[in-house]
Amino acid sequence: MRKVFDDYRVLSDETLRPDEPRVEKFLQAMKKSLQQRDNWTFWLPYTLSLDTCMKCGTCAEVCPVYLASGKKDIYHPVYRSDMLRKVYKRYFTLPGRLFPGLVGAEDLTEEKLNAMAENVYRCTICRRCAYVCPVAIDNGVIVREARKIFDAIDIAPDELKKNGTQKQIKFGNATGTPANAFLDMIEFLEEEIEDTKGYKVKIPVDKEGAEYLLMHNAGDYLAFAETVMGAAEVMDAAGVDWTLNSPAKGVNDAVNYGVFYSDAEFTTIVKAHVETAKKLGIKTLVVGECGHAFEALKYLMLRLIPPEERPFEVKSILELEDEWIREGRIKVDPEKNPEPVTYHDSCKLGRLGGMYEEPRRILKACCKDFRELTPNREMSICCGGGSGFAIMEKGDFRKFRMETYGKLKAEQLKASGASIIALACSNCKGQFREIINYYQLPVRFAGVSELVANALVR
Amino acid sequence: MPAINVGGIEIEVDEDGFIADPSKWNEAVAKALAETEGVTELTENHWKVVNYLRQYYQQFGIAPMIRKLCKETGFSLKEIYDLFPSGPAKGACKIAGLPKPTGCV
Repeated sequence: MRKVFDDYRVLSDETLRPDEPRVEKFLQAMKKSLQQRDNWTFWLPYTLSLDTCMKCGTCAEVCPVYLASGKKDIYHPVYRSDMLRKVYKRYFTLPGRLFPGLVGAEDLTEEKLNAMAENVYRCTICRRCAYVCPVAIDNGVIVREARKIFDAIDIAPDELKKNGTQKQIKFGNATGTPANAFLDMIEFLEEEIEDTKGYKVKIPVDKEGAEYLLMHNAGDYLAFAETVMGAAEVMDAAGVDWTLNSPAKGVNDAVNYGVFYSDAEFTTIVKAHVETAKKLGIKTLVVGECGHAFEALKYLMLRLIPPEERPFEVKSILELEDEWIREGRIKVDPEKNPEPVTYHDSCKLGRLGGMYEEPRRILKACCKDFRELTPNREMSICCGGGSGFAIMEKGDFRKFRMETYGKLKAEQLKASGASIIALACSNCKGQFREIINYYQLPVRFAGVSELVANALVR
Repeated sequence: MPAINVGGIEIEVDEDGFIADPSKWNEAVAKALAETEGVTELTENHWKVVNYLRQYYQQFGIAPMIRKLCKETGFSLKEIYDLFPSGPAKGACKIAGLPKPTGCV
């Protein structure tokens, strides 16, 4: 695949079609994106962000990609937003139409379109920049709106669309796990819990009318089974009425990749989640350890589905574990996790979701030696796995992830002296799995639920 | 679409190097795919993993859980990475002729 922006390529030639004319269609789709009636979801922060940037550069001082790349121009957050902003000024503002040179307006060419299509997949939309901007510009919103425009002209990474949202609607999960395989996995996990912990836990599946429906990122069963096992042990120890669901009963995958690139795909999937929860007649949908799934189901859903159409509560498994430990519903002994443990604030759970203290209370109760990464909480540095990046490997992209975001996280991890990093998000787990390998760190990662389960006093 | 050469025959692979048509897989194809993964020799241990993956995939239509793969083959995850540097999903599944695993894995 040839170079269209930097040394990496997220979009295949088949998807990007770099030699075909797409500028006209892009501009038509962009025009729609600027109309509130057609694009109401984030219209206000989008248009204000396009109009108001003062080019002060504060955002750049906190952008992991920009900093770790050695402050390369092309990775400056404003350089990226300007790719869209210059086009906005040229075609959709009066000064830009009349005096483009004077106002930083530029024509969109096919080459610039190619470069933009790639650059919008170098930012994880961690929004560390938005957090520090003195006038509340959100470069992350601009990146997402650009991705939406590209999706409207059929340019979206396979991992997110064809093998992501579309696969999830077809199979009930983005992994393509059929019901019989799912049940085989559950049976195996019950055996594993008994083998490793010495007690039997029954994992309910498809129980109608249960109080809690726990939905994991379906990838966790395949790649991070310890999180699923840990969560089952915790639910069991709490003695609550809970269930998992199989793909036979709708969507059994908490993910919603539409969060990353498309309101249309997002809506289709969130509606499928709501239908699934309603049909099972459950009272609380518990989101497993997945950052963007939490964002989608706890917050974004509120704007799209009216309350009467979603007759259930949504909680993160972290919220439940925190509640249950504090009220003594589950008893934990920190001596059972003696190694030094640190915690990475996932962007969607922390900066977006506001859940800083819940995981910390949990980990301090369950681990003997808890340490902070520096910085943390609101200023946590994105690990680089978000936005689906953890599963994007084409065009040497893993190297990009490791040499930018990954480099900074490796430094933080080393400085903490921890031998375990607790993670409550699947993309983070995938990314840290690679970071630990790439930088040969003497660290392993663990799901929060895994650590809680280790600490259980039964 | 890119392709790999297997004893003079062109076998199509996708952008990530996974076989486009799993029905075209055979041991010679496995060896060629292994070369693309930097695995110069497929030992008995490699075949143990590959055969388990294929058997599970044929039965359930999806690759097995990594934890189950380790249990059933008797290899630790580290040993699997030693055999297949890209790991169980991107390395072993590729050589075993399974389609590329999708979702957050």
